[in-house]
Amino acid sequence: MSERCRTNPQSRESELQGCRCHYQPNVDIYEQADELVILADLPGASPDSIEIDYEENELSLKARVDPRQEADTDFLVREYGVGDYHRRFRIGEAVDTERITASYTDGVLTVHLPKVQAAKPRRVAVHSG
Amino acid sequence: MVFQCLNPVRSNRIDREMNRLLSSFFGETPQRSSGRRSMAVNVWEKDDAWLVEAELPGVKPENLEISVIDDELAISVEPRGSEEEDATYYRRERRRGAVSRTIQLPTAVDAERVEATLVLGVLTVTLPKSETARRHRIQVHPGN
Repeated sequence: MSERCRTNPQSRESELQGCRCHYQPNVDIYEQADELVILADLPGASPDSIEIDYEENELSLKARVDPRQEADTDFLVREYGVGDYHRRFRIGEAVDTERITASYTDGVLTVHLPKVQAAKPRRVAVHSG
Repeated sequence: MVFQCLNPVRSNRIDREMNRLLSSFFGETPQRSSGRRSMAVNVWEKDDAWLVEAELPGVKPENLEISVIDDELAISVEPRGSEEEDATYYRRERRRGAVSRTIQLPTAVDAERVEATLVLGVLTVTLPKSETARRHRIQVHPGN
C-alpha cells in the first residue's frame, strides 16, 4: 500500500487538487511490547481509497469520502462537515515496515506497526557456571 | 472529527461556558440528557421525509438505540470499546463514552416507516413525514 504514492506521484498531485476539504481524523495511538497501534476514526471513507504511507519515520493516513448529499442540499441543521481525511504522524520507534498491517471496520481504521526486533528489549538468560 | 484546532482544550471550555451562559439566559439546558455527551448531527429535508445523519465510527447496530415519538427522534449510543491493557497511550482523541441526542423535527413523522442504516460508521435515519404534514399542491380551478 505504501508503494502506491511513491511510485505514482502524479496521481497523488491531481487527487489533492480535486479535494474539497481535508479533515483531520481523531486517533488513538498506543504502544505495546512489540507494536504501535493507531486507531483512526474515518467514518464514511471509501475502503478502497484508504492510503497508508510510511516513509522516513513519517506515517501518513489518507482517505477519500464521497459526498453523501446533493451539492445543493439545504441543511436544516449542519453541525459537521464532510470531506476527505488526511493526517500525518512522526514515529519515534523503529518500525518493521514490511510487517505493517491495517484493517477498516465500522468506519475505524486500525494500523499495526510492529517494532523491529532489535528495538525490543530482550532478556538475556544468565547461566550459572 | 475536527478541523485542526490550535488549542482544542480551551475552545471546548469556552463552548461549555457559552452553553452555560446561554442556557441560564434562556432558561433551558442545551443538552436534555444530563451527564451524557451530545453527538453532532446533520439534518436535511426531502419532499416526503426528513433525514438525520450522525458519524458514529466504531459503533455496532446492537449498541445503538433509536426511538421516535411524534416529531421527536432520540438516538443513544452505549459506551464503545475499552482501553487496551498493558499499553502506553500517546493519543486518546476518539470518543468512547455514551452519547445521546434528541432532535425535534419540524413536522410529525410516520413512526412506523422510519428506517435507519449504519454504513462505514455513518448513521442515516430516514423519517417519512406523516401524511398530514406533507405539502399538498392545491389545484386552483378557474371560476364561472
